[in-house]
Amino acid sequence: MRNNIKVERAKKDMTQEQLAEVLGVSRQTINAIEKNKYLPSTLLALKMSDLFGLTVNELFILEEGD
Amino acid sequence: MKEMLPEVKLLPYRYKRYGVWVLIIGIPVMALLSMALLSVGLITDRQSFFAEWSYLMVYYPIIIGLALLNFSKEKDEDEMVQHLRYQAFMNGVYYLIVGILMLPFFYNVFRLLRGASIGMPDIGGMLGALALLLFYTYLSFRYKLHQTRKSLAADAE
Repeated sequence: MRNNIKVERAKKDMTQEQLAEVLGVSRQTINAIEKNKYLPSTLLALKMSDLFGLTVNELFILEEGD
Repeated sequence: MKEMLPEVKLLPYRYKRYGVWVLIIGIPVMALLSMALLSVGLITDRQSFFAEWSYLMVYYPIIIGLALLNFSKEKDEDEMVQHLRYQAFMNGVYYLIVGILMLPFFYNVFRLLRGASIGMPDIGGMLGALALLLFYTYLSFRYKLHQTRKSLAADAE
């Protein structure tokens, strides 16, 4: 699975720290999600999609083999 | 859903500091306590006390200190940290099983290298504790699974 969080964050001109604060998680968690090292919970994914004005499917994209 | 097993809540972050203190000062405090008990005459057989109880003196502060470190929140506690903690617990239990089961093997390799005969190390307590840990964990898991399925079946009716 890949995601567009880094791109969407850049569009909103937000730092990882700012995004983390809005979502109530640590900056390390945002970093891990962006690098596909951690898969967020449904709740966090929904919060992110809500914040960026996208659907979860637009933010997180399934890849071959997932 | 009625919960008979209360969920284990993590302690606040500050308990990590208490855990470190217990690890640092726990053993000297237990040693002083033992000396005090000896001096007031509550421990009469000095030799057997230190032979039998010296392990408790050492292990109680170590276990309490490490438990406080394990069961307290991180400074920035979030879902990724919780996920990593669950994984760490799984790894810890897994390697404990492997380690304890391999102990007689390594013990006997050393014995054979020294030219001694094969024997069994005194690890009955460890095996008992490990069996209890696995028993409680499995029982708790099966119970939670049963409660969830029962609740889902009731909702479906």
